[in-house]
Amino acid sequence: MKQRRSKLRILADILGIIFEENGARVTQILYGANLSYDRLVKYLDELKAKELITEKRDDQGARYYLTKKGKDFLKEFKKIEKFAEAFGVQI
Amino acid sequence: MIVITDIIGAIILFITSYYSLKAYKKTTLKVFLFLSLGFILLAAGRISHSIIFMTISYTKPARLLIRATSVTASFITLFSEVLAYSLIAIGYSRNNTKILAVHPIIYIGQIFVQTIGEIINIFLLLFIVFRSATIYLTNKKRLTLTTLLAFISLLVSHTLKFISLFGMMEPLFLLSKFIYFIGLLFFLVMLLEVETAK
Repeated sequence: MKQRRSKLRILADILGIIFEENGARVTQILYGANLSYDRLVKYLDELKAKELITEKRDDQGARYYLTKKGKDFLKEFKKIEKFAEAFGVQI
Repeated sequence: MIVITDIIGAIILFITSYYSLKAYKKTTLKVFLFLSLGFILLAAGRISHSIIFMTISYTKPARLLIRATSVTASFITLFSEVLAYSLIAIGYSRNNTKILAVHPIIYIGQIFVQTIGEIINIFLLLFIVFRSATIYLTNKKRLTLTTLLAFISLLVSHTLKFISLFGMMEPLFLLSKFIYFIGLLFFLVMLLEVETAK
């Protein structure tokens, strides 16, 4: 049975996609994070409010980028994920 | 030498506790809080043990005082270990001859308490090793193997210490200290891998 993802994991997944794409659009994040549009918008708003991502608009719409704070958060999450893995804990 | 390994070991345990606390703050998962408290207690036990023995070797007090102090130091370490392994197990479930002749009752009492304490430690560590072995067999990852090897080393160390209590076997006691230190080095390897995570 597949385990439910924690909020922290979802936020890290979104940040991970944005990082890998070096700036991502909503459709790319939707596809990668496996979320509904409404939930994704809610999480993106939260990440913007926490200054972990920034939004830039062009002709094709909005594109999201990681801030320095976002990159640090993702790096820290990877370490915690690895530490948790050592004790068999799933975040 | 024992004091040096105690201090290095305590540093490794402090770092492990710090990582656990950091993980708890980010995830609010209680398992990390138990792990953090467990590792900090193990570290505190090691530190208090080495401080007491350093104080004895520098101040050179009366033999009776040496005996009383070393008994106290052993009890502090033992108590902190029992408490620490209990916390880690909880975390895992959620996942001298002259003096001896004068005070035989005190000595027997010390051996009795130490024996009981070591038995508790061994059983707690058996549970922890069983849990971490199950985790390793599930995900077969190198990192979980490192943690498993660390706990196996602690289990072997406490088993040897327990055996050495009966026969007064100093080499076995020293070997248990050495294996304990090896276990802490496994934790250090795990922490280095965590720190270099990308």
